[in-house]
Amino acid sequence: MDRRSLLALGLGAGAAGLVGTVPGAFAQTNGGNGQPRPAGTPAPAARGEAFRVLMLTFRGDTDVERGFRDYFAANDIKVEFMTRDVERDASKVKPILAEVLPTFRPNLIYTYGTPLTLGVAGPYDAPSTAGFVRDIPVVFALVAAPVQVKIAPSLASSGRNVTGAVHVVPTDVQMRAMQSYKAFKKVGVIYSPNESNSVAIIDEMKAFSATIGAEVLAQPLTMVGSKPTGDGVEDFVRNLKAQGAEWLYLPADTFLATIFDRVGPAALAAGLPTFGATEFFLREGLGLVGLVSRYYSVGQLAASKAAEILVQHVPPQDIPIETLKRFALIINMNVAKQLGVYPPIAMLNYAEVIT
Amino acid sequence: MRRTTLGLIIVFALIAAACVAFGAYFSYVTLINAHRGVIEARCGIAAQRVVDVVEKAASLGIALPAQQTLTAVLEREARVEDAIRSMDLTDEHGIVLFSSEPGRVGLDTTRDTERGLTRPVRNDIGQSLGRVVVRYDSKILTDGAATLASDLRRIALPTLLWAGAATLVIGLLLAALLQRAVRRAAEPHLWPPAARAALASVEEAHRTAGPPASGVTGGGAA
Amino acid sequence: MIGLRGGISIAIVIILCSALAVIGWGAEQAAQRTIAPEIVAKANSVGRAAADLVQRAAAVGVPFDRLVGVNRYFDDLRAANVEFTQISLNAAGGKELARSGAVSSGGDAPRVFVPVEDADGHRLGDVMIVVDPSVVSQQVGAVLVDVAFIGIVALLVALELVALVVGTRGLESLVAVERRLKALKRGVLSRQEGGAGAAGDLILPIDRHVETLAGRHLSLRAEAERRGDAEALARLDEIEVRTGLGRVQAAESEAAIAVRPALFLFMLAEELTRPFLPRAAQALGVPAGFGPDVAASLPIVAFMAVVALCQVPFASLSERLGRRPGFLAGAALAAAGYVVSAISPHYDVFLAARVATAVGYALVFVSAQGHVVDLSSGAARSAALAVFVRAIMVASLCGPPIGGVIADRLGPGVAFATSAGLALVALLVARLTLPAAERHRSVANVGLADLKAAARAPGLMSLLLGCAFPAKFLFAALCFLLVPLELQREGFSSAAIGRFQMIYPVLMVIGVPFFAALADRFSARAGFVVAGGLVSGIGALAVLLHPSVALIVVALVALGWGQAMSIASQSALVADTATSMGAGRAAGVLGLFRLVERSGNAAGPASAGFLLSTLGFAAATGFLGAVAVAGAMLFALSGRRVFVHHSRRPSSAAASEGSSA
Repeated sequence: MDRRSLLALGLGAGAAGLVGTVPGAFAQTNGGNGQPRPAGTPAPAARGEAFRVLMLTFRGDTDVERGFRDYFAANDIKVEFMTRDVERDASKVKPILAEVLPTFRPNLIYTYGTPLTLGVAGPYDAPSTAGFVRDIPVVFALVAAPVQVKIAPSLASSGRNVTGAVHVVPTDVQMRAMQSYKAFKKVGVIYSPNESNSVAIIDEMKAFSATIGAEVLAQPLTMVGSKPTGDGVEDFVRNLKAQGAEWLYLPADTFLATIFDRVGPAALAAGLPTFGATEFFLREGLGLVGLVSRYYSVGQLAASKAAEILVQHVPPQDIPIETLKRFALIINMNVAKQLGVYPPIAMLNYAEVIT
Repeated sequence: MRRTTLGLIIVFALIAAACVAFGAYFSYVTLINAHRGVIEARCGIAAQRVVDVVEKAASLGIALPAQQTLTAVLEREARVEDAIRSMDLTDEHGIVLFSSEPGRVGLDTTRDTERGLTRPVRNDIGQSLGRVVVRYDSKILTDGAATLASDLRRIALPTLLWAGAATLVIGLLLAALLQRAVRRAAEPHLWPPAARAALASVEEAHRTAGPPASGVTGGGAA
Repeated sequence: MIGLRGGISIAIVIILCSALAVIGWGAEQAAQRTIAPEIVAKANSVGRAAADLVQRAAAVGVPFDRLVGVNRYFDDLRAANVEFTQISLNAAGGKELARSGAVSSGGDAPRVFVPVEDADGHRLGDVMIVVDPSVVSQQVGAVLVDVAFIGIVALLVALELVALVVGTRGLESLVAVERRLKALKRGVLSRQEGGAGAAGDLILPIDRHVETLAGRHLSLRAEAERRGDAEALARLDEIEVRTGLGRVQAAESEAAIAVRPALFLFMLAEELTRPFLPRAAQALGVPAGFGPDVAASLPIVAFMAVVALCQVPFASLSERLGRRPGFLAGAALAAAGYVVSAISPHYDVFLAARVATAVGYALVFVSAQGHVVDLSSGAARSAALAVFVRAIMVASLCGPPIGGVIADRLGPGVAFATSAGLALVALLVARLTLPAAERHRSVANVGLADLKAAARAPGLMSLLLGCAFPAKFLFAALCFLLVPLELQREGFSSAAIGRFQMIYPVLMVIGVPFFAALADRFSARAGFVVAGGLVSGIGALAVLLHPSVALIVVALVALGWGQAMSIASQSALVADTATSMGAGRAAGVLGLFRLVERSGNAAGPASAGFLLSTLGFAAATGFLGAVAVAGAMLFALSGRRVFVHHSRRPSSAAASEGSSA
């Protein structure tokens, strides 16, 4: 019997109201601290105690954490939270875990974003000696591409003690939103060719465009060695416009996000409407419109998965990694006015308008 | 045979009358449904507006119980439609959180006996947060149904009687024609033209075919 | 002359339609009074919602004259609210900025105006909605059409069951009277077979006249023969042919009349399932490895195949069991099958239930046919079989529309349950009407050897494979599978599909006697067989031109027309072949004919299911049509001349089951 099923058995026994812990079941954690600790910790809820959840944040509390905590409150699930912030430095994960795990003994660990999640759970193909957390369920939020970064081999199942909430809006849903704002036959896109996630999105865009008879003009950023640069990005925007692009799509591309302040004004100057995959671009980068996940809701989605693990004892590998059922459409009206490209009025029924 | 004919005619008259009755009843049901559909659609528009407000707020992280401005929204929407008696926002268990009628807060809408219209409120992860419940004046429905019923009855009853009677009359007429035809058939000189012609040609053939001495005349019965 | 039954039916149809039209008018008035004001109020609500949205657009800074997507939004509103004929947005100056729906010219249609204002309360323009309350009346109209169909079908059912209602004896006398009157009207002086029943007093005088004439005719004929007067004999023969004098016209046999109500009810049970069966099968979930079209066709194919295969073995089985027990057992089995179909949640169980029903169906059919054949002989047998066929035809006429309405309003489960109920009623009726003890007559059983021998009859195989098989192949594929599935895809209800499925039997009922007479007059049976095959095939090919509901109707009409042209002649040719083969082998020929027809019934939906999933509706239909055309050509080239100089048995007397399985 492996440790995980022992743990599950312990939780199950606790839920069934059996008194006591599973006797003699001690196991080594892989948390890297080398301290032994009982694996069959009984579920606290059965004894009227709160579940213990360790929350690791990347840049302090955000709406994601708020949604995560609110979910438990709204569903009357008693949870004791311990929050630790890594201050945008994923290397702090190991020391924090070493310090917290033996004393707090969390039933579940929450992680924010890709670096933290990888820091805690590691890639799924890491050797068992690599020292990542294995016996405590990990629920992540705000990981854009868990498959590409090897957190999980597929969205249907991580195959291990990990699940979570993805915040990226499916590409075809974004394309449809773009299409209903203003129909297009040619759409331009700028991306970093070294980011596999972005390359995958370009493929999805092409697949969707084929179904509506449209064409994708994909413009990779200039590479210097193995790193992309922003050189000539304004020219790229103008070129796309000259080639007849009716939209400029900006994917959730890590490097691209750092040069939004150059892309947005260039597109505006060229009279090219922009559709962004992140809220940040719309609020700060002069984007016209975007379809994004509300961070609060992403937190709630992650919490719903945590609750499934804690309360219903569903093993994390049986809980698919999902995105939201509904997204927020954000329109920057100032940009719309400058471009003279107004949204169809039906969109105002559900869009959030920035004025 | 007379009894058979009569039985047949009565069965047919009953079928005709039953069809008319069915037609009237189905028309009534269709009209009633259309009537209710129109009224509910009207209330539904108002309810959906409230749902949109609540869902948008929820996705920004404002918990349902914290949306204090909802009372004003519900009051405004309920006032717009005169058919609406009250408009509530309930939690997922049906307990009223906010209402256009302050007295209803805390009530359990699942125990409401009157007809209501509900629209679910969901959050971004597809979970039910609660419902918008509209109670409309059921008198509007019952009044409408009564008017429709009386209007239709006024037209359907005479039609039904007429259809049954017309079938009876036509049936009896046909039966009388049949009787007459049978009576006439007993007399060869009253037979239908085709039969008379056939008879004549037979007579003719028989006359010429037979030996001259035994010519047959007349068509009388033996 | 139209008999009493026919006359009163036509009268009721007219009375019913006019009465329902009056009801429709009344409903329209009621709707105007009660519903129209509510619709106007709803238009106000919708108008306010639209005006709100426009105001919001103005508030966030979209210039009023540069609003985007207003037409589209109004179109969506109209799609959701069918009673609005027009929605437009007009600027304060009167200029129309957006509109959905045609401008309504009529000034009397109610319309509502909702003002659009900017943040300061200045009026920017109006949203205008024009209401058409007649939409509600149209819904009522659709319901009344349903009711009219139910009424007419109920009438047909009543006509079939009238023997049950007024008693077989009473009906017989009415029939006896009407038959004699009809014959006189046509100038036919032949003797009428069959008992007078209670109408003895009425028909005795007529019969006596005819008897006297016939007696005299006979004696004159004997006299002329004795004299050797060839001229007189020829004249007498000629008058005999012209007026039917001295001949005996077969009556509808008692045997056929006895079995008819039970058989009709039983057939009706199966016909009910036609419009919704493919959909019901698909709804159970497509089993792994099948496409949805194959899943829809499989229950039909299984049913038809079982019926075809059981035909030969069941002939002897029903004889051993006795006709009545055979009928009862078959009906009970079929009823059980319907019940399981009604409640089965799994595709496999459903399929098994359909097979059980098919076994029961085959047993009932064979037993009923055996009963008629056992208790009749000579010309009376043909007449009896014709009665038998008519019961099946009327069932196939009434079943689909009723089944469709039940399935639409109450669900396929209830429709299957209704079928089960009908099968049980048929069982009870059969118990009451079929004679328990039967005369024992040894009817030669048809074995494989007989079929083999029959297959060697000259020209027979080219007739069967060229015409009989493709005809059924096309019919079963089109009527039972392709048309229901395609119409369902077009969004038609089961009731409407049932009405489409009526086209074929209606044309058959009207066309078969007509074309049979025509074929006899021109002695061109083989020609009619070929022409019928071509017509039905070309009709199906026409669907390739432009797949549409209109062309589906064309295909169904061509199919009914073509089959009506060929079916009676086909049967007559087969019967002639049977006669020419000699008494011992006649049964084999007829058995082979049925077997080939039924194989067509099974192969049709099977190929159609496969073709539909690979080629699509139009190409599949076209392909089946091409098979029918090719078959007709094959027969025309190879087999036709064999049949040119055959006997003069009247085609109309040769019974075929015509329509269904």
